[in-house]
Amino acid sequence: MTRLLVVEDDLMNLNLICEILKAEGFTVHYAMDGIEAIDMAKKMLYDLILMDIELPRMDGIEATRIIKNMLNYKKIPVIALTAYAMRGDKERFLAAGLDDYIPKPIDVSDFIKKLEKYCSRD
Amino acid sequence: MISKAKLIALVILIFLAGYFLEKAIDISEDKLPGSVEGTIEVISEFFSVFVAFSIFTIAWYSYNKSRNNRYLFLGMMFYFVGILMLFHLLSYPYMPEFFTPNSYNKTAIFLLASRIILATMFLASAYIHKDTLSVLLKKSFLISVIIIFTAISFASVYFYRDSLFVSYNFYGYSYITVFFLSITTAVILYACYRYFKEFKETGDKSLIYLIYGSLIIILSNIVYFAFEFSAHFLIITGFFYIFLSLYKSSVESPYEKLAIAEEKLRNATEEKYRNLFNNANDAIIIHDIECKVTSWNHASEKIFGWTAEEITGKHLLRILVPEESRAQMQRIACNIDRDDTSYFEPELFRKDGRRMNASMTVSNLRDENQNVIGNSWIIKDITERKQAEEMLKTLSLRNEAILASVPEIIMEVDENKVYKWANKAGYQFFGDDVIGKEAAIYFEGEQKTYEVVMPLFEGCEDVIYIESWQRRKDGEKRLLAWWCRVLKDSKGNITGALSTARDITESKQMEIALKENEARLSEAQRIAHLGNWEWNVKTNELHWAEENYRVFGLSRDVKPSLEAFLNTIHPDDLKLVQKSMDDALHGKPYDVDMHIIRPDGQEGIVNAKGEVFFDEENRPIRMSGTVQDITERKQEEEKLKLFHDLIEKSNDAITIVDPETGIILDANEKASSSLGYTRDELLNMHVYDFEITLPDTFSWNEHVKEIQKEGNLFLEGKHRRKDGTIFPIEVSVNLLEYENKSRIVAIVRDITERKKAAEMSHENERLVYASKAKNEFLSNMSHELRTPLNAVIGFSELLKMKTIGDLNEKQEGYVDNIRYGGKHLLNLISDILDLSKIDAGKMELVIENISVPETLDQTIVMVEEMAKKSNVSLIKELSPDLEFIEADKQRFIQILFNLLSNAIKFNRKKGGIVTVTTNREGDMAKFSVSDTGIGIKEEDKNKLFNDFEQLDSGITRKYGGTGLGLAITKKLVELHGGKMWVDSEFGVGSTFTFLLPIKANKGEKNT
Repeated sequence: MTRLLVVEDDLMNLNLICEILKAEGFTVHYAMDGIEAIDMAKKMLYDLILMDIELPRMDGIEATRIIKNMLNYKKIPVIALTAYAMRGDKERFLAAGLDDYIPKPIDVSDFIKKLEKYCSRD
Repeated sequence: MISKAKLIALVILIFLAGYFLEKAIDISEDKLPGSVEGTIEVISEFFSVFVAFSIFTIAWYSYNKSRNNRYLFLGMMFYFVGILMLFHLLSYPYMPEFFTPNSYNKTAIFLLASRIILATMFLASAYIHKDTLSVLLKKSFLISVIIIFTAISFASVYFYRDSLFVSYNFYGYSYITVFFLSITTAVILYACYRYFKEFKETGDKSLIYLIYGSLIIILSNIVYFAFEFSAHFLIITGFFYIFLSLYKSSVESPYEKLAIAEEKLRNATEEKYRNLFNNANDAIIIHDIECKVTSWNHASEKIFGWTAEEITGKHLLRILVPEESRAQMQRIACNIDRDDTSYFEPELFRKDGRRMNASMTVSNLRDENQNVIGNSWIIKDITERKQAEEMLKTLSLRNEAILASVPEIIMEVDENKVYKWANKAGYQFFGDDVIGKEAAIYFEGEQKTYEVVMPLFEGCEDVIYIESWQRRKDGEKRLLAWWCRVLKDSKGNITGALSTARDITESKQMEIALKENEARLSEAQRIAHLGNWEWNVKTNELHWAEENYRVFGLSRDVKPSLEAFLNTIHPDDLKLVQKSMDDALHGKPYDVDMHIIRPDGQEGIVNAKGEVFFDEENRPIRMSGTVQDITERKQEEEKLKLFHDLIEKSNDAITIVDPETGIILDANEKASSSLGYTRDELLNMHVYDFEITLPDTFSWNEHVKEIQKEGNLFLEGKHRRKDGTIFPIEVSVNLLEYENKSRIVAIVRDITERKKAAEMSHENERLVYASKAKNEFLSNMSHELRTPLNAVIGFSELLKMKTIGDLNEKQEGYVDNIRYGGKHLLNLISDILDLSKIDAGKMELVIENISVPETLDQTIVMVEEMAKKSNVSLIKELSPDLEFIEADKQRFIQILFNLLSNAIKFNRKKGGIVTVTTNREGDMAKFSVSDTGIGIKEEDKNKLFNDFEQLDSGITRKYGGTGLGLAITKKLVELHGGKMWVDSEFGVGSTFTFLLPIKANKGEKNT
């Protein structure tokens, strides 16, 4: 059973992602900001994290850096899921330590294909 | 030295004499006093005692000279033996009582004691050498020993008791006595052996007597018991030999040695005299009473030429002495009845007949008996000395003549400075009565002459120079230069002084004048830093003035020389100077400035000028000229030049203005170039002529007053050039006062550029800020728009996937509309952002080398679906010349995609053909996309590429799209440095063509 953490502050979008993932059969937990995401990652080991970048209290890049510094998260993929979709944004996030990048708005079928690719890797 | 045979014969003779004497006299056992045998015994014993004491005496007294410890020891031994023998003699029963009653026992004991002492001490003496036991064997010590021994001996006689020791019994000597006597014999024998060994080693002949003596004593001991008389005689003989030994070594041998030494000395002295005689430098001749030669030494042979063989026996006078002086010489030289030594200087003949001057000493020669046997002549050749004396006499006469006639005054004073002698010139100067007058009488004015010449008379100096004023006989005051020389007699005592004097009054005056002139010249040179010099080209001698030392910084010790001069020149200028000198020697003028380095390291600049003088054959003889230190002048000049350059090359216009009139007096290059007037035109122009911002109320005088008040003004204004153009300036105005004149200096700077730059920088700042704000705004807008769009599109897609339940047909249609609307909005946002970015200049191209066919295929894949749906065929016409271009791949695809999708979109409903063509046109790649669609009207072509401009509003609805596509495409092409246009025929189709540079220009990467 694959466990995912979705970090998203926009309720509408959080609802959408959770609906899609649950429909695909994933176990989904969510956090509404960076700090909450770190706390949750400390409590439980997730198989994959979907990380929004623009977040209150602590942004996704900083949260990812801290999570990636946790010993058991070294190899856990953290994927940016963000509305920052201008040219150069993807490179910026990958350089900051995120493993992949999915721009919003998502194409649902592409989104599912990408997640399945990550989860079947394990 | 006596032979052994003789000795043995003597011993046997003595033995027999004793034997027969004994036989002749009938000896009774008990000798009575006064009996013949007793008397003989006593006499013989007494004689041996005498000999023993003689030995002691000779040893004791010869010790002072011989210093032979052995003989001293032996002497002492014989004293002991003598004492004991005496006591032995005195103890015979037939002798008068000797303190205690005499007996044979008593006499035997003393005999035994004497023999033991003799034996032991004799053996001991064999081990004592000349200087053994020097500490003990001293006379003072030995005297004490002798006294103690004598005392003990007397004591033993005084306290004698017969019962004490039995040495003689009824049968004669006791066994103990015999035993001891045997032992002593053996000991003496052994001592003999020691002495013999020593004799073998040293060869000391005195030892042999000692050995003989001791052997005879042994013999006497042996025969004692049988032949008493013989024994007595033998012992005397033995002692005598020992006495002989001492005599030989202490008395005879020293005399022998002395005789030998004397003999040697005599031989040596004779040899010495012979050497003296033969090697003397003077001729030594000895003649006998008949005046015939007996000795003739080597020097005589040399001086006279006769050899000794030739002349020996000849008559001296006849051979050596000339006829005329023979009689006289006979009287004085050959006279043998003389007591003293005579000296005279005759003329003598040589063998070769030449005469010579000789000095001659004659003295008597006598034999041992003081009888005259002849004379000795000692002769020296004094020919040369005589000649020298003769010459000296001549010279002395000549010198006197010279001294008298020289023009210099020559005066001699005695030790009291009284004139003793004067030459002619001296008399002429001082007068004929000068002799006998003291020198000071002629002194003029106070002078220290006596003090100065004092060392001469004290013997400290030999020659003294002095100048002193003297009164001439006509009363005139003259300056004389004296050279005073000390005069000494033959013993070295100072007798006076000889002084030569010259009248230097005139030359001194000239010298003073010359010195003054020189001083004046030197002063002038010092002030001008100018020194003169003269160089003798032929001898390379160089003379230079005092000032030259200062100019070149040389110390006064440096001798003027060309090298000293060249050494000071800076290495960079050395060649120049040498060339100038060479040129000068070939007739060119010499005038050269050179850098010098003074010995203290200070640098300077010197100007040298000179002139060369030539002889008739046009060869340079000498060169003279001047050197001048022009360092300061040069520095001033350079400083001035520097300031001049500074002003001339200044980027500010500098003008000097007359404060009274406002007219320009001088201006620099920049002033004329910035205003466009020539410098000559500028001079005499007025400030009003180009300054245009002056108010109508401007008064030059007020302006000057203000400057005077402030000292310095800083103003902005505008100037008009000659061509009428106007430019802004700032000006700094200063008032300068110099040499009682005042001048206004205006430094004007053209501030056009600065003004422009200030404006531009302001604008730039604003632009940068605006651009940054716009960029942030775009980025935020994109993010904020996409977030809700994600929900819209996402949920509509979720619905469409029907995972949460089926939709009816109508619902599905609505969901499609929502989704389509969302997607369109998304495209719109992307296009608007692109456009905004391009317009803001924020679009950045990522240039890479891309393959044209590959990229084209990638793009065609993206539109294939759409083409199929629209029933459009895609045709590629690719040129093989165009493989790669440098461009932003994503943007390139965007351009192609836009054109292709437009071409497909705007085809006719029934379908059509879209053709993509690539070509190479020089440096540019040409791409064309043609369709067979509706085409574009001519008047619409211009609108085609405008933002939000679709050709008619119906199109959006009909064809979709944002209406921004072509505008963005064209801008992207232009961003790459290319261009784009459309060819179209309405109703037939359109061809969109764009050119891209094959090699991207760097400058177009970030536009």
